[in-house]
Amino acid sequence: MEIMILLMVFAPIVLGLLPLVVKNTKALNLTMVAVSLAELAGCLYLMFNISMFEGQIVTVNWFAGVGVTLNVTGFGILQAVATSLIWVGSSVFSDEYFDHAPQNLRRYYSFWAITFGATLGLFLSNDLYTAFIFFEAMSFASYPLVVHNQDEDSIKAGNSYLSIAVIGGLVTLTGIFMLDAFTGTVVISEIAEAVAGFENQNLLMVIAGLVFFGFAAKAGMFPLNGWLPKAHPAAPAPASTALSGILIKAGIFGVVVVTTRIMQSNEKWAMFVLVIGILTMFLGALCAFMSTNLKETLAYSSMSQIGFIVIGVSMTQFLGEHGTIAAYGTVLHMINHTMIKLVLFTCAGIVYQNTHSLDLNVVQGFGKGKKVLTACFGTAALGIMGVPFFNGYISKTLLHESIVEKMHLLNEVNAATGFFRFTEAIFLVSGGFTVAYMTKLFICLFVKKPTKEWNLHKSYVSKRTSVVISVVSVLIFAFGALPHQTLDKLAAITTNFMGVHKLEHSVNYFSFVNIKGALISLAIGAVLYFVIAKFTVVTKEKGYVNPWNQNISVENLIWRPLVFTVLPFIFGFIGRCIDKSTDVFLLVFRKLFMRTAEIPSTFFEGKRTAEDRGIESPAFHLTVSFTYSLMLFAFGLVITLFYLFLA
Amino acid sequence: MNNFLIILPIILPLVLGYASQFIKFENDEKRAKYSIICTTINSVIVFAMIFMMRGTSVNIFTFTETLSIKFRIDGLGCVFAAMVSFLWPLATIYASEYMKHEGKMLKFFSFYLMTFGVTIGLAFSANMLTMYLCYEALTFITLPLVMHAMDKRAEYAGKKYLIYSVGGASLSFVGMMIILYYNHSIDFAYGGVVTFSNTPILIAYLLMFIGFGVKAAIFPLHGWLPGASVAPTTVTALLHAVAVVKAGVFAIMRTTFFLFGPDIVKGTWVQNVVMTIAIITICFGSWSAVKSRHLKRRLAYSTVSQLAYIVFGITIMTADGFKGSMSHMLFHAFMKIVLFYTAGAILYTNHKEYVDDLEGYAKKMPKTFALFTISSIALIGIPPLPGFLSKYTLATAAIKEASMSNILPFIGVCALMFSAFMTAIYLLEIITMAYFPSKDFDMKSLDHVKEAPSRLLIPMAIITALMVSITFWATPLFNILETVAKGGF
Repeated sequence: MEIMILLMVFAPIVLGLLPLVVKNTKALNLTMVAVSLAELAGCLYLMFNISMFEGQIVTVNWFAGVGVTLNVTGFGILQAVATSLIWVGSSVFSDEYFDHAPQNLRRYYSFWAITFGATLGLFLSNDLYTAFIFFEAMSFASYPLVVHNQDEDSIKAGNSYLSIAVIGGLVTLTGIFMLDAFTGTVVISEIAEAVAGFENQNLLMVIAGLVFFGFAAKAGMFPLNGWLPKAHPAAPAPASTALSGILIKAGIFGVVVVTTRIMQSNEKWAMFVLVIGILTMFLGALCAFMSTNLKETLAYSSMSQIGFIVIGVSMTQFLGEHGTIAAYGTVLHMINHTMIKLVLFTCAGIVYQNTHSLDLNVVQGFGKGKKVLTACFGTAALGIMGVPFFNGYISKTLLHESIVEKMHLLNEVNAATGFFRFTEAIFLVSGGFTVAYMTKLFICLFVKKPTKEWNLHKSYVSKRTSVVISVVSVLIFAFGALPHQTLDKLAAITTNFMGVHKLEHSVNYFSFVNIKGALISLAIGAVLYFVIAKFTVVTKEKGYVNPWNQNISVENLIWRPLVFTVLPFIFGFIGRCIDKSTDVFLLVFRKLFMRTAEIPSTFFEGKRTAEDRGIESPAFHLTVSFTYSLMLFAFGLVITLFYLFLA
Repeated sequence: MNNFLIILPIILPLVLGYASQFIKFENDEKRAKYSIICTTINSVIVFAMIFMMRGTSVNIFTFTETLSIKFRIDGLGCVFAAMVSFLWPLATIYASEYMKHEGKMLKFFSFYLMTFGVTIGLAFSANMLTMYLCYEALTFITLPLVMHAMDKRAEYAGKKYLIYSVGGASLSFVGMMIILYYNHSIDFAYGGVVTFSNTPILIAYLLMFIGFGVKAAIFPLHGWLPGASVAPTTVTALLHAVAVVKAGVFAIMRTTFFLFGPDIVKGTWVQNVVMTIAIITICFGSWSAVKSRHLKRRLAYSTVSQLAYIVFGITIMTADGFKGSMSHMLFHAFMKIVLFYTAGAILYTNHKEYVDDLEGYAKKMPKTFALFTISSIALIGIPPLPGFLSKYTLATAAIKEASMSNILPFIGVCALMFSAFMTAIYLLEIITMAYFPSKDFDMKSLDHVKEAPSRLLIPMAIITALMVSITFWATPLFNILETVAKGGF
């Protein structure tokens, strides 16, 4: 068994070397499809027999000094299944997608495989140290996927992606160090016990915050979200699917660990996570509503859905022993979102490979009369809107239910429920925005009149891809229509990891109370799209417009000036001072005893443009000038005067 | 009598190196081969000694009861000697190709070989006096190498190096005198020979720390190191990433753990001072590297900051910190020498020195840049490569010492993280630029760019392969280092 788990994680990483020898990209693609299918089969096998394998620990001592430990948990294996699903779908789609841009494909497949292995490793890791190793490997391996196109946008997005990965990773690592030092363990299943007797809650909060930071950044949570809407659209479509569908879930994995293990039943922390979740959810939905770019809308949508999931995580903590519903909602929304985004991003990729554009004003009406595309996109859109009988409805209902449950509990003890009432309202409004932006996309692609005739050389999508997205779309519908037989069972295997009991009596998803929530969202969405959007984002004259000024963003206003102007100036200044601190003595001696000798220049430094123009440093003029001699003279005079006074 | 063999690897390169000045070789190629053979033989001797003669010592000459020239092979010495002896033959192979471009082979190979002997002498020194002599000798023997080009710039760099190093060594000398005044022994023994603590003793420690710290390029005495990057790359790589600077670090290790003993210094104001110095250097070095556009100089600043990691590990004053320091000393040697060599390979083949000129180069020099990338990722500390392992060891050692009343080690850990981020910036900038040129970049302008010759690539590849392989046998390696750090062997 150990061999199988090890193979599952390390085989794709080793496979990353294959493109060094195999030059044929079609063969590489077939290998990737085959491997992902094998992984999917393996993950499914583990998932169906989870009762047998749960808690199976695999240790590789010789690797990386401290050793790597893997553990099969229900939560982990469920995410691993989702990962494999994404990789199967996207690998199949890659083949045709890259027909229009075949450069650098070997590099792409190499990192595609490594990212796969690292992501699986992360979800199956047993301790935070292992998780960190795979987390970093995943971040770095996915960088070449983001910058694959190598145009200005993708390189800029790639830089943001990389810096957030490095900063996030390091901050998290500091947190892991502290956790190890103060509690003595980083094994995920032991943390809860170790922190139970910990007195200093503030210190614990700092540790949790540090560990949380990196994972939150990877999940694209506010205010560390700036990179997400840039990086996801910049990557080629199959890679965006992976980035948006599963890599951000890796961040959620960490958020869950921090919240349910380190900060167990700490209400302050749960509140902190809740507030971040609300902001992420709402802002993501709002930006998606305003965006005029197909993939960017989907990326913002991912961010917003992450907000929904994070709210679920925090509600799990708020509810404590009643947290089952929230935990189920969290896990199911992760799975559902993965499936939905697989379909949506693949559809966006299909649009792009035919039209070479993602601008809504250009691609509008592209899908008219294309049955498979319409059906799949429509199903996925209905799923994410939370329309009954589609999978998104189930998880959103559970999340909504958990907020309502918390209000009930508070009512019982006559506590104030104001904040949760507000949470519920925002939750429903964000749901409304989801409905609005998905309607907008659907109408744009499939209802509007085409702006021009697309001359399609061949059929717009290959058979294989359409089979994949159709199967997933059917699943989206099946899971939503038969939740008790499917989704409930999936969620049940994750209860150990989430630290909750199994659901005792199943939720009646299709009762009026529950459908009401969805109906409210749908109504808000309808109002937003058919009334408000007409004045703002879908105007008659200009088509789709984004009313938000693109230059106004946290990144442009704060991060970029800070990182590129302020900090380099401060550090550069201090650096120069320190650098010359000792040389000053040498310089003074030299100037005193060897007046005429010039200091030979070492290397030109600083901005090269300045040196190319032959500008010399001001210090040079200072030291050879008449003023300098005058200064030395005055210096001597002062000393002489002092001597005279003292004598 | 057999013990006199210890001085063989010290004397042999000195003699052979000096002799090579008088031997007439047909051409420079032959001279280089002679050098390669000599270093290889000497390395084999050193490794044989490490395995067979560990623990033996020899007294060469006695001045007085307390002052003598004495050599001994112990754990820490073995670690340092093994590192140096592994890298030296490879470095000589690299130099045999690279120096074609710099010329003056006679002078270069002669001093290069002699430096090897002195470095081994430093590693095997058994008391402070011997180490001090070797330390001074190292300065003088490497001086011609730094000033190799003999133009104004090189001369200036050389003078600066000399003033800094000799000035620093004189501080150490004062420290040594203070010890001699209070104690009657300056022989190294694990746990220290100084038995009591008072202010002059602490000041002596500070003096020695700063004195030896000159070679380890600690703030504020780091100035010579970036300047010395005018030397040929072979010199900057082996001497300024491995032998000379590590000699400084090694000397600090000796003073701290074998002369004073960590218990004397731990918890006093001196520990705070030295730790603060280390932390400042860590941060300062890495941000100066970011600022620098000249590739070799950037790597030199990077060395400043990485050396400070090692020094920081020492200033924690625990066996764990010592272990972390030694591991980083080893790993950094491997990583940084490859980085310098790739910079050298680019300079040698394509005459480019500035970071900005390297756009798109990875396409034309795939092998060189593959090695550069692996080493960079290791140096940044991306798991599971060795750079991460040593930083992890250092940081955990520091965190263990941190407490509410003493937050300095914790600040140190934050500095490590900050520096790791800076490292990522200054190395990834080059990698991303070389691998992902912007779309409108004209690749045709790089048509003349050639891949580096194999004699440059092979030594780099061997070192990188060994460095990567450490990931898989890190556990036994760390066990050995732990034994050494606890005074074993």
